[in-house]
Amino acid sequence: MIRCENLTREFFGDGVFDISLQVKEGEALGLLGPAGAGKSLLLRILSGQLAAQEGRAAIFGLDCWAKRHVIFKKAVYAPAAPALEPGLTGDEYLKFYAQYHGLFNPQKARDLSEQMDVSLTGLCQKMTIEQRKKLSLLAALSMDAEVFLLDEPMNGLSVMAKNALMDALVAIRGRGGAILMTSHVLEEVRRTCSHVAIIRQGRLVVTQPVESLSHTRQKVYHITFTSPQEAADFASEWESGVELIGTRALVAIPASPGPLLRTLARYDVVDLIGGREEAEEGFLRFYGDEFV
Amino acid sequence: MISSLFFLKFNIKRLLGWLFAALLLGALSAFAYTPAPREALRYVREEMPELFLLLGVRGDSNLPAFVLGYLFGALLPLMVSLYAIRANRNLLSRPMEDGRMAMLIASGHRRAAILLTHVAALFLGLVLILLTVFIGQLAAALVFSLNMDLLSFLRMHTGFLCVSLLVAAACLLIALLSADDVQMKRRCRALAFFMLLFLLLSRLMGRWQYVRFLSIWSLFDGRSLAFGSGGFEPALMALIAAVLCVAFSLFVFNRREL
Repeated sequence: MIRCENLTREFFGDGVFDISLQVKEGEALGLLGPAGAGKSLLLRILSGQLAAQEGRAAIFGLDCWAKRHVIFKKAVYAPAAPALEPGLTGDEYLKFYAQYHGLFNPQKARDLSEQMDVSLTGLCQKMTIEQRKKLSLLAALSMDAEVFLLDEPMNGLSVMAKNALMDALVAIRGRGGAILMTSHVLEEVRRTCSHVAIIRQGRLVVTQPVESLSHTRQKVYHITFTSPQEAADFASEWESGVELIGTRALVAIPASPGPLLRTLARYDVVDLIGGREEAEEGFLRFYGDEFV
Repeated sequence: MISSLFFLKFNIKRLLGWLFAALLLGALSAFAYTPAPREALRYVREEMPELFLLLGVRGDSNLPAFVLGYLFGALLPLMVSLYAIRANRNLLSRPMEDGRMAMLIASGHRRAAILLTHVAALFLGLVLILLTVFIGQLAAALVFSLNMDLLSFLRMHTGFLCVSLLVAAACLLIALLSADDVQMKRRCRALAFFMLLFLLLSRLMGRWQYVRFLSIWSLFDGRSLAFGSGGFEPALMALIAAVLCVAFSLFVFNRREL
């Protein structure tokens, strides 16, 4: 239902490069990555706000830029920063949203608003950030849509609202909906999604089913070079998953160490320690302190 | 046009202030024609003839000529310019900046339909403001028993509306071509300022008269409209230009990234 093929789009120095992914019916893809990795940009392309420079972004087989009005008859987009009409109350906003989009399911909205504890009485402009976020998500998830594009849906929500949201997302998957959501918390993705994709500096590092992620042990290698320059040269050559600490480099790779050893053969290596780690630890190490 | 979006964007509460000001302006412009205020104004005018010339006050021998000078000369163009900037900011540039427009676009509606709905709300607001000015004049004329030539006033208001629509459409286009709200505000204010400045300068003698070709407002030939000796051609040109502006805005909006 959602498909990107070699999608490239530069955007003020950042961007997404050569992204290929797909989300089928009943699947949910969690896009993980640090701030500025290109997650929201990818969703903006898919929601028809930005055009691709190279490659293709399509939903239901239709181009996301040229056919956005057709796609969004059956798709929903919820941005990370909720954009509500300030002069409306929560209830008025929902009514407008329902009339404007046309796929609204009032029963679903009532159930979700209770589960997520969404306030519908006050003016949108006077709501807290969490209330605004919950109202925005409530509006989006109350739609009988087939594709959901959710940018950081869990960010800033209380535990109760998060749990309700996760249940709602699982229910959407259960009835055959496709979800593409971004996050920078692995646990959220693990509980909600069927697949996980890791994006770093605009490039997809890995895409795999969540189950395999929880069973895969990341191999992390501690490499000590003769000088920091040597370590930096190696880091620039080894494109993904390197953390530099002075003369030391930490490399996390899920596959065979063959390519790493062949690359290291060209450098002056003082020490090399190889090991195995659990997925979560490996994932966090993969990005160092960039994650919240 | 999308009805739910139109009722959201056409905010009558937000328009009430403008309508009140328009009513007051219309009524005052007619009331000022009654003998006592007219005498006082004539006295001030004789003291500062250059200023009144700049403002477009040429004569006060009849009500249309009086209103043309004191109201249509500078005050109403200023009010329309301010409304056009304000409305375009509320309707377009702020929503494009804070993400509300992105939310509207991520729907089953075409961008053209979304923009045309905004244009309808913008233009309807302008029509209501000018209609309220007219109602204010009519009410004052009735209350103070002034001899008001309705047809003459209708012609003036229709011609002025055409030019006002062009100003609003130009601000709409600027809003879509600007990167953000601040840039839009600066550009529109500059446009409004220079259009008004050129209009005022064109009333000076000598070469200054040619400056009128630089101002949109000079397409309003109030004197000819008021006295039934033409003036519709430039107003029609303004209307056509407004339609072209909207058409180009649609083109820009369809290709604009948010």
